[in-house]
Amino acid sequence: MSNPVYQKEMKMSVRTIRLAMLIMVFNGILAALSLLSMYGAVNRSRFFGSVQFSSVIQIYSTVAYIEFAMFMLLVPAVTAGSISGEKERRTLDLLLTSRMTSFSIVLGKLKASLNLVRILAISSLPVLSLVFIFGGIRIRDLVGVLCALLISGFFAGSVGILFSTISRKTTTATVLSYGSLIALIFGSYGILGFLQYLDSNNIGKFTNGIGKGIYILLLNPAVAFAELVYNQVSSEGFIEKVCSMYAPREQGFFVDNWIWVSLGIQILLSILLLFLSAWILNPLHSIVIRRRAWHE
Amino acid sequence: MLKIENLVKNYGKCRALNGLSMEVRKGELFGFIGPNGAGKTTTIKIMAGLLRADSGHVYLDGKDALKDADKLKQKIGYVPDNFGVYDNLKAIEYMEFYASTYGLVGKEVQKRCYELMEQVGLEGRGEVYVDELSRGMQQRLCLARAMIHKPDILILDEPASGLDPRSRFEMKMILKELCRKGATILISSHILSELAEMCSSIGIIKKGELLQQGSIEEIVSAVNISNPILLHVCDEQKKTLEFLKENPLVQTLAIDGKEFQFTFTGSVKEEAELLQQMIQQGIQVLSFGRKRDNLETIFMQLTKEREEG
Repeated sequence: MSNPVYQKEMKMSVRTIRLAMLIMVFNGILAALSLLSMYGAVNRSRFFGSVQFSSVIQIYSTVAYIEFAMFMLLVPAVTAGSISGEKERRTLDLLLTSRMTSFSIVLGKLKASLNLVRILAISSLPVLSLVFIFGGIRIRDLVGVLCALLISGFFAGSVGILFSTISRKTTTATVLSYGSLIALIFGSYGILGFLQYLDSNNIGKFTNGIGKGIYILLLNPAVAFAELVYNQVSSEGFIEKVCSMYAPREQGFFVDNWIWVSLGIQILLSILLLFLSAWILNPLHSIVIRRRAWHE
Repeated sequence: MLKIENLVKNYGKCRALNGLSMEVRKGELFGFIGPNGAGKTTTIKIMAGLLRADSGHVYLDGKDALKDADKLKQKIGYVPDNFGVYDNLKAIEYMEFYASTYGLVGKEVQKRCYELMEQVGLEGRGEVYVDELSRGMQQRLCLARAMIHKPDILILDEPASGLDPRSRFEMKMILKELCRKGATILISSHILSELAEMCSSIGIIKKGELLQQGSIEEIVSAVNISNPILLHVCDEQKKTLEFLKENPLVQTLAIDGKEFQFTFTGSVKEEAELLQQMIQQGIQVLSFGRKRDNLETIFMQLTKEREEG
């Protein structure tokens, strides 16, 4: 039997204009930026007399990065309101007294949020496929980007669900979700910078740049995505560039299989976060929402 | 049916439930009353599986329900004091959604949803969006929802709060009818007059402890035993006064014409003997009895006594 919460969310979301508006705005921004890039490429071709292959590829990578950024902005906003919205609406207690487990409630909410991610990812395929006009990108590459987007969306969604479970208000959950994702994406670079500072001042005991410190970036979904797109559009990988900057002699399994390892870690972390959310949501376990119970 | 034994719940240093014990029998409409902060909602939340008790037991049909949360959920239908609705769901979809959260789906369930809606006076409202229903209707819909999985006991936390007099009356009638059909209902409310009218039994709670439990008559007579006796005689005020003064069990005495009001520390039997002796003495008694209190006065008296104690 399908998850009741998921079914209810789907039924409710298709009854509002929100979903349609979201798809339109998301693809509208994506299409506008792609067409701008394309316009630039065509203009450059007038100057050079032929279409520059690098310009065409640039359209693809630009669109892919923008799509990733928009995903990272959209998904936490959607998931952060999932459980806290039920709290604000005062419908959570009714769900918790039903026979649904807290895990299936969390899963239903995530599935509904990921459905939006899936719709957005698939609806953006025509824009991403603009590159096929000129060639240079395989369908396999496009599928790769789609998969990475879905996994990163799953990860960002799980972060949003966790904070939605902890917080009583959607605003708090949204701020916390964005804060932690920003900390993860930019903070991991900050840590690299700090380690490099220690290295350059001979404070640490690094013998190979910052050495294994580079692996902190495995947690960073943006790095994995950049590595994927870099591999598709250029001969040099993104992580190679980062390694040459921070840890020149670092190589081996993790560096060679960066995308798979990083996406694997994101999936594992997402599952962990979901279990943690379900644990917190269970009123017989929760330590976070216990205070609110004594309100009579 | 439902038995609570030594339930203890602490919130940090605050003790919300202090060894609460009470019993709700099958087919009873049990009124659960107490002042704010007495521990009513805490007790209800523990029973509904929304809160963990620090110690104690909740027995449902003799089995410790707190040990198996899933079974507890199956046996209890819960209507919270404050609840919300989903904006974009029709009443029938709302019912079907909650049915599905109990694993109930299909045509039969839809039929049951309509039946329950009819039972709570919402026939013909299935296609109306829930947020378009009045507060009273939403409350009744929530009651129908709580019965979707055929629970053994319905627990309603302040179901009349925020309702207008008509909606409160309708809710009262529905609950009485449900009880007549054999449902066991525990209802917490502040509107004592209404509880007195519909409940077959009540429990008064204060500071996490049960002060009194039983049928309203039982509680009234238990409390009234300490009330003064009102005596109305036809004549012979002087003789009556002398007679009462001689009785060592008569304490304070007040006279207003032919009406006497006095505190009597004897038992019910001694009270009956006093009346008998008066008649034997030739005093013509028009009325004799303890001053009767209503549920509200008893509630005030009990909760005040405990505060002073």
